[in-house]
Formats: sequence, C-alpha cells, structure tokens
Amino acid sequence: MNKPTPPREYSCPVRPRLGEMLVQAGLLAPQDLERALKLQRRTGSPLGQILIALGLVRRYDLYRFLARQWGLPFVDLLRIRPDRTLARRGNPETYLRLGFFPVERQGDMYTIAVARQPDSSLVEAIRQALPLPPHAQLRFYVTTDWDIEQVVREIFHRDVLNAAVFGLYYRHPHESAYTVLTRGQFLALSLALLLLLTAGIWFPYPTLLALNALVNLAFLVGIVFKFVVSLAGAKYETMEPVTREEVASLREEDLPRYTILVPVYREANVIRPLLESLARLDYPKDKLEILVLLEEDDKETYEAAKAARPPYNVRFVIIPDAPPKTKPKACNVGLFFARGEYLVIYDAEDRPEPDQLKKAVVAFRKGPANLAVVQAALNYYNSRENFLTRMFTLEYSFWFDYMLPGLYRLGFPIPLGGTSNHFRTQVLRELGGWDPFNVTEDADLGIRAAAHGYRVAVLNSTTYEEANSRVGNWIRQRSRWIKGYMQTTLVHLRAPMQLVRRIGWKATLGFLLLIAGTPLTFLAAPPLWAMYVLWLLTETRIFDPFFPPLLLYISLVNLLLGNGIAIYLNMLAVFKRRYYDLIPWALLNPVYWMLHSIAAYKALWQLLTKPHYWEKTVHGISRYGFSENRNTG
Amino acid sequence: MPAPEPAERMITPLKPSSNTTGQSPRGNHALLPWAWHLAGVLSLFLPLALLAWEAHRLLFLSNQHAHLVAKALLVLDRGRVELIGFVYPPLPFLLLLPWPHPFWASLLAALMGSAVAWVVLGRMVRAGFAPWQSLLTLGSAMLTPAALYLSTQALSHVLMLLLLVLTWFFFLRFVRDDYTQAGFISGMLLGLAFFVNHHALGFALGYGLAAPFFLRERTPGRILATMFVLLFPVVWAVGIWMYVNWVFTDNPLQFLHHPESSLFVYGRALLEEPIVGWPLALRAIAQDLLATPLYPLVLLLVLRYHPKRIGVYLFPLLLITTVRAWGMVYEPAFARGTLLLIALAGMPGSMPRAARLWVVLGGLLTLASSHIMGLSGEARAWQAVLLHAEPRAQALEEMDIARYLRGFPPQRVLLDDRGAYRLVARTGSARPFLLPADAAYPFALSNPARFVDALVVPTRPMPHVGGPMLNEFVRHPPEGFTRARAWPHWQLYLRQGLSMPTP
Repeated sequence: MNKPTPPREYSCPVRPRLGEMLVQAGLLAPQDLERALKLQRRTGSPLGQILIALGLVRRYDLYRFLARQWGLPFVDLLRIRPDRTLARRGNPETYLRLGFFPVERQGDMYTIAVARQPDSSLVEAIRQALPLPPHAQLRFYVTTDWDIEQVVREIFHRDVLNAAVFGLYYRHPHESAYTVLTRGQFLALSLALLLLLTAGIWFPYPTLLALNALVNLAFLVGIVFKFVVSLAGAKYETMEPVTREEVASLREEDLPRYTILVPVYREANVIRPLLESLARLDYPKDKLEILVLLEEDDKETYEAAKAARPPYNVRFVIIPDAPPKTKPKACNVGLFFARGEYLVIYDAEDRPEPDQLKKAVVAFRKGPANLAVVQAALNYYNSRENFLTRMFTLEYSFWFDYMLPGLYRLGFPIPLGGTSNHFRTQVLRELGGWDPFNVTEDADLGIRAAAHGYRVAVLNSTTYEEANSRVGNWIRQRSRWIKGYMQTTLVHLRAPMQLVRRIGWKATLGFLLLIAGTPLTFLAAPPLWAMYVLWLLTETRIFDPFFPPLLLYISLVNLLLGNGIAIYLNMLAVFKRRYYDLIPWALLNPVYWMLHSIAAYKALWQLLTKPHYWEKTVHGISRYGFSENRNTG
Repeated sequence: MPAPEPAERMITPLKPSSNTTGQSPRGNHALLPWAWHLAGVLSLFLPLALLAWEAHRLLFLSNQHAHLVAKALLVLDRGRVELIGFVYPPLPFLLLLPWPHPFWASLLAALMGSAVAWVVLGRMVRAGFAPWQSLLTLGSAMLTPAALYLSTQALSHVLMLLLLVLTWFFFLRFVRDDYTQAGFISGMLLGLAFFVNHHALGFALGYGLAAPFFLRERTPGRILATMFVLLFPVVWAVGIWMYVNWVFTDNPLQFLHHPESSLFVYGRALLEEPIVGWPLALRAIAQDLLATPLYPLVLLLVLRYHPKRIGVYLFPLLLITTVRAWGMVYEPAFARGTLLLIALAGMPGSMPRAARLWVVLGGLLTLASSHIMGLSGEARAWQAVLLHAEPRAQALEEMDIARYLRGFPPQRVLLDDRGAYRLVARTGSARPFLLPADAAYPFALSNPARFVDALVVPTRPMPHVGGPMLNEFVRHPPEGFTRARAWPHWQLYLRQGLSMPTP
C-alpha cells in the first residue's frame, strides 16, 4: 500500500472550491462548471454528485480532488487488500449506507476509507458500527463510493448472496415460499382429498352435486366481487391521485434520492432502448441511481450494457450465479446496494411515463404515514401486434385501471404488478425484500405489506411494456404468475386466523377471492366447459341431476351475466385508454381465458414438481417499437 | 403503526367539466348526499303511495299488476323461476318475489315514479329553472292522469321510464363529459331495461344514434366505439334472453313472435281496439300529442336552441309510432308518460328566462289537456274508481271467487292463468291451482275428474287464451263435474259429490 502522510483524525481546514480545482486541473471546462453550478442551485445536490451524474468528471478524478479539498490522502481501495477480519466486524449495509470501509488496524490506530468528508457524526457512527474501543484512534483516506461498493461485494460476496436468497426465510420463515407446504397444510390437503375421494366413491351423486354447487357458488361470488371492485375502480376516473399541478410544484432541491432497479437476463437487445427510456425520466440525474442487475453468467448482456456507454448514474450490479436464479433474488441484491430513499423496479423493456418518479414522490408525501408502496399502471406499446397482444392489453387495461384502483378504494390488499412498484426503501428492507422462492414475488410483497400494516396505493401514471406476442412464451409467463399466486396463497394461509387478525375479515376475503380464486377459477373452468360443450352437442340429460333449480340459475347467471360483464368491463377499460379499435376484441375473451386454463394446469404441475423454478419470459421479441405503436390517449 | 387514513385523503377531484349550463353535474351530484336524495324521493313517494293505497282499498287491480303478481305467486309456490315464462320480460316479476301482493306492486311503482320525478326535478333545477318553476312544471306533469296511473298501476312501464331517464343523464355525462363510468352505467341500464320492456332495444338504438350529436371528439373511431359501448349490454341482454328462451322452450325467438308476447298482449287486454297500421298509429300518436302539449312546445325550443339535435328529440316519437304501426303495443298512458318525460328531460340545458316560462306554461297546458283528453281502457276505469270512490263490479266478483278458491287443497283447481291471472292474483296464492305451467295440466285438461276437484272457466269463450278444450268447457262442464257457482264473468265447476269449500 502506498501510504500517504497520516492525516489528522478530523479537521476542517479552509477549503479550496472543488469546481475551481477541477477547472484549474483541466478536468472540467468552465462552462461545464457553470452548468453544474446552475443545476446545483436548482436541485441542492452536492456539486460532485452533479458532475458525476452529468458525466463531466470521472468518479476517480472527482474523489481525488475531494481528497485534496478535504485535506486527506486518496486511496485506490481496489488495489490494496483491506483487512477482512476487521471488515467483518461491521455490517456491509452500514458501510454502504454511511460511505466508509475499514482498511486496516495498527495497534490502536484504525485506517478507514471514506467516500464522504468525515465529521463527528461519521466518526461516532464508525465507532459504533465496528465497534471500536474508546481509546481507538482513526485515520482517514478518501476513496470512491464505487470502490466501497466493489470491496463490499468482494468481501461480503457470500453474505450478500445469503441475504438475498435466505434473508426473508431466516427472519420470517413463515412468510417465505421456500417451504411449499407446511406439515399442517400437507395434512389438511391430504385429508380433504381423501375425504373427497371417499365420499366420491361411496356417495357419488351428493359429492358431485356438492362439488358442482361449490364451484358455481365460488364463481358467482368471484363475479360479484370483481364487479363491485371494478365499479369502485371505475369511479377513480373522476379522481386524480396526483395532479400535474402537484408535480409541477415540486422543487428539485427537495426531491429525494431515487433508486431504479432494472433486473435483466439474456436481454442484450433491450439494453440500449432501456437506457434511452430511463434517460427520458424527468428527475434530476444526480438524485437518480440506476442499478442494472446483471446475472453473473450472462456475459452477452453485460457486454451489451458496457457497449451502450451508460451515463454515470447507472451502475451494474452483478448477481452471483447461484440458485434460485430468480428476479426477486436479483432485486434483493440490488436492494442491498440501493441508496435511494425511494426505489422502483422496471423491467428491461419498460417505458415509464417521464413524470412517474415525481408523481410517486408526491403520492408518498401526501399519502398516509403507513403508505409503503405505490403501484403505477402497466400497459403495452405493442398492443396491435397480434391477437395475444390485443388480449393482453385488454386484460391489463382492466386490471390496472379498474381492479387495482377498486381494490385500493375498498381497502383490499393489492397484489403488486411485476414492475413500476415504487417503495419506501427502508420499509422494503423492513419487510424483508422480495421472496426469491416465490415466482410472483410482487404479488406476495403486496400482501405481506398489508399483513404488516402498510398500505399500497395506485398511481395515475403508466409504464408501457412489451406484451407477450407468442403463445408458448405467454403460457410460460402466465403459468409462472399463476404458480406464484398458488404459492402466495399457501404462504399467507399457513396461519389463516393470524392473517384475519392482521388484515381483517374483509381484506382476507378479498385476498382469497383474488389470489386464491384466480388459479382455482382457471383450474375449475375446463371441466365446466367440457360439460357444457358435451351438453350442447348431444343435448344429454346426464347432467340434469347435478343442476337442481337454484344451481341451474346460479350457473346461468355465471355463464350469461358473468361472462358478459367481464367482456364489457374489458371493453370499457380500453375505451378509457382510447384504444377504440380494441373494443370488439373483448368479445374474444373466452378464447383468451382458455389459454389461462392451460397455463393454470401447467402451473399446478410445476408447483408439485418444480415449485421454485422461474419460467423466464423472453422479451425484446416484438416487431413493434415503443414509439411506433403507443397510444397513450 | 399509525392508523390507516381513508383512501380519499390521497385523492384530488379532477377539475369539474362543464355541462351546458356551465355547472358541473358531477360536482352537483357529489355535493348532494344520499340522504338528501332519499328524502326527496320519499317526499314525492308519499302522495303517490296514498293514491295507490286508495286504489287498493277500492279493490282496483290493474291487469299488469295482476299478471305480475300471479306469476310471482306461481314462482314462489312451485319454486322454479322459469315458470314466469319467456314471453314477458322477467325483471318486474322478480321485483315482486319478496312480497307478491298487488299493493306491493303499486308501492314499487310509486317509488319508481317518485324517483323519476326527483331526477327530473334535479335536472330542471340544474338547467336554471327557479324552484317554483320546477315544482309547478313537475307538479303539472305528475298530476296528469297518465303519470298518476303509471306511477301507481304500471310497475313495468314506470320502471322502464326510470331506467330510460337515468340512462339519459348518464349518457350525457358519458358523451359530453367523456366519463367512461357513466358510459358503463348507461349501457348497463339499457341492458337492464330490456329485461323490463323489450322496447328498450329501440331506445338503445336511439341512444346509439344520438351519440354523435353530443360527442366533442367526432372521429369515426370514437363514434363507433361510443355506440359499441352503449349498445353492447342491450345486445348481450337480447342474447341472454334468446339463450334462456332456447334452453327452456327450444325456441330462442319465442318472446318475439309468440301470440302471448308482451309486445302484443297488453294491447289486447288494455285497449278497446288494437292499434295496428300507420293510419291508426298516426291517429293515436296525434291524440297522445294533444294530451301532452309540452312535448311539441319543447320541440320548438330544441329547434330554436339545438336544431341539430332535433332528430334525437323526435326519435322516441318515431319509435312509438313505428312500433304501433307494426302491430306492437305502446299503450296510450305509457306513450304519454314517455313523451312527457322526454320533454322534461330533453329540453335544452341553456335557455333564456322567457323560454323557461314557456316550459312552465307548457306544463300547465299539459295538465289541462290531459284531463280533457282523458285516458282509455283500463286507465279510464281506474280514474272512474278513484273519482267515484266505488269498487268496480268486476273487482267485487273477483274477490268473491277468490274467497272460494283459497279453500281448495293444493293443485285441485284447474285454471288457465293466461286468461284468469287476475283470479290467481286475487286469491293471493297459486297453491290451489293446477296451471298450464304444471306438467300435469294437459292431462288434467283431457281428464279433469282424475286430477282436480274443480275448474274455473269463463262464462264466455276467450279466443286469445286457453286451448279449444278449455273454451269447450265454457258451454258445459266436463264429465263428472257440475256447475257449482256462476258469476257474471266466471263459473266454477265442482266434481260431483264434493261440496263447495267454505269461503
């Protein structure tokens, strides 16, 4: 180690100005400094942060000059070998949060690398974090925040991985989908199945009748529930959770630091458009931290990401190659390194509306104190590509514009959508992050947040995505979602009464109808369709005994009113978005629902055979670009 | 953890969009609490309920209510909803299931009527009418015989009018204010209206065609989409009804061409002479217009202030005339009620003061004219009963028969409720009767002695209802039966050896 002159523990000399120093050194043009200072007056961010975000100065150079300004020596943390034993005395999250890293110990003298000017509060925090004896002395070196992150990643590689994979399981094992079925659940399900089989053999007619009644009643309740929720959601049209005026009145200097997590895997082709899209976000660059989460074995995407020459506020986080290879695991790693007060996830192909982050900030500020997440609407930019993308657009328009606002208004728990969920980072950490064993970690997190007393709200901003345009790919994706709903149901029903106590009867009912009801509906539909088609073709009377009058009326209501209302609500949802040409396509919903059932059976099979397997959806296969087909209305 | 705050805290209302008066219908509705609406409706309901009670006390029972009550009684007794049949729209029957009683039907009608009046009153106030002007005009309209009759004796019709007027206001919010939820509600209301009256299909078409005249954005895509959204539920409702018809009767179009279809039957029962063909239809509509001068007066105002929308305003008039010319039924009272409602709800929103005074005058003229013109058929009889405070002889006869019929054991009286539904309604139960809806009915008809103890048949053949065999019994009792009692319109045959049950 190239040892510089030992500095004082903490001093505050008369400081030369950083900008002037950089200009004098020829590292920064005067007009660029002027630009950065102008921006600083608007945003209130440190000048160094602005210079890096704008790409005007290299991080390495900046910190070298900061060291000079602070009167401290600079150290390249990656070239030296910090004392691992000393480092392990503290918590890596604290190192990242406070911006320091212990380098070595010589007697009572501790050498600390810092990425911020040391002051008494930092000194105190370091003493507590390591922890250090009272007589211990500190000396500081300056390093870059990036270096600290790299060292943490190297030294705490296994810890980060462990936290990302098992963090939730260790802290709250009952909330993790690592265990598919608890012993109690296994026994209860086995017993129910056994009883059903026994009853079916001994009393076939009453058993089938009861089963038929149960299924039809469940359908009816589900229809009524969705209708009521949609009506409540439709009312949202007259409300605007966040207005343009509120966004315009935000002062940039008051904006908090925001982290964007973008997990990508084998998506080299979407990296460039992703960066372009994120660059369009209306948020101060110096307050925006973009973490692109790259899998260790995905060299192609990594190379593409490097070749795209991302701006300086974009950082690559390499996700260690270890099972389970899931998006939530990658996100948990990202969460570990996130420094924003708020955090949002976008998929690689996402195109959020530019003011979305600011709207989220407003929503958090005006929302209740227990508001943990706001979910933006999702929709598709390639909706006109083919049948599947049209149906997907109908579905998403209904889901995000009617169902989720309705759930919010009525106080039901909201299953989060895959992307564009904005979190208070600290709350997300408290909740344990995402469950890497749950393949709809988003939906699970929404329910978990509700179970912990937090609220999830919806945001009137849209992120445009690429709709799945191939049947096989769609079934893979949908089977994962349905499997995830099954997992989420099993996880949160491990202690049903506890769930009721935590979120109340109404919300529990909503959870059952939405999360448990969705897979069950798609699983139950094919036998009913088969019966119906058989009856239509042959006019057989064999089903008559299973449809006594009341049950017949219920099934007729389900068939005629239920389907009609579902189709109509889909029509209205796309009408609201002004996708007028998609309206007649809603009539083809029954065909689309058949695909759901295929996916549901695949999901059930996977739940039994490969519960944690992540069916990767291939993105970037659309023939349509974002700008070609978007119809934002 | 702090207690969750209400969701509304996060919600900021959108800036109100303006209607033609410059006021926000959304805003106004939001300001009026439900209690206010309820109080308003109830205050209008009370006088109507009193009138209904008086008619009920005088034993007046309209054919429509008798039919609804009879079917509801049958459904409740047999436990099968499909027994209401498929030639009438089902919703009014279903509304009577909680309490299948003539007075309940009248109360419901009064409630619907007062709701219509309240909605119209709100519309007039928002359109800038002074309270006295609104009350005077509305009062004049409500006191016309047609309005009073519909609001107490014609549940199906007044329910239809309520759905149509509600649809109209949601329709306006949908097409003018670009409010999708209102489109959803108006579509659903039109779909529902088809289950109240099949003419809803025609009105839905009218709404669809009217949309382009009110839309701000008139691109072809928007116009077609708006029409699609408005018409889909009613088309779906027709599909549902056809499907249900097919499932239970094997004939999906039964409700359209069955001789007893609601589209035709009320006409026979209520009108002295059926209106068929253009000359008769035009004459009838002319009489209706004479009885409701407010309609042509508002027509002039629409011509003056919104000439492009004249076709929209005239559509209901054309519809009524056309369905009558085609041989379908649109009763005079219902037609006058419809025209009156269209005039009150469809008047231009922004009119100068003088024009509003003309509307008030039109209302008063309508009140006078409607009483001079009077009503026909059953509605006239209703007026007579109330004016003379004396029950009709027919009603006394029906009550007398009903007293006897109540004493029979279950399904021991053979009766054709297609003609004798009033008797079922008066009896207050379908239990004693063996009716065409029962599987044993055709067998009992061919061999009554084996299945029943008694038969109730008319004293004169009813060519439109009942089979030839039942009409055969008009002249002489079936084998093994003797005529136990006769009334002017009905006769009761009793199995030989049985004695009349004590009333």
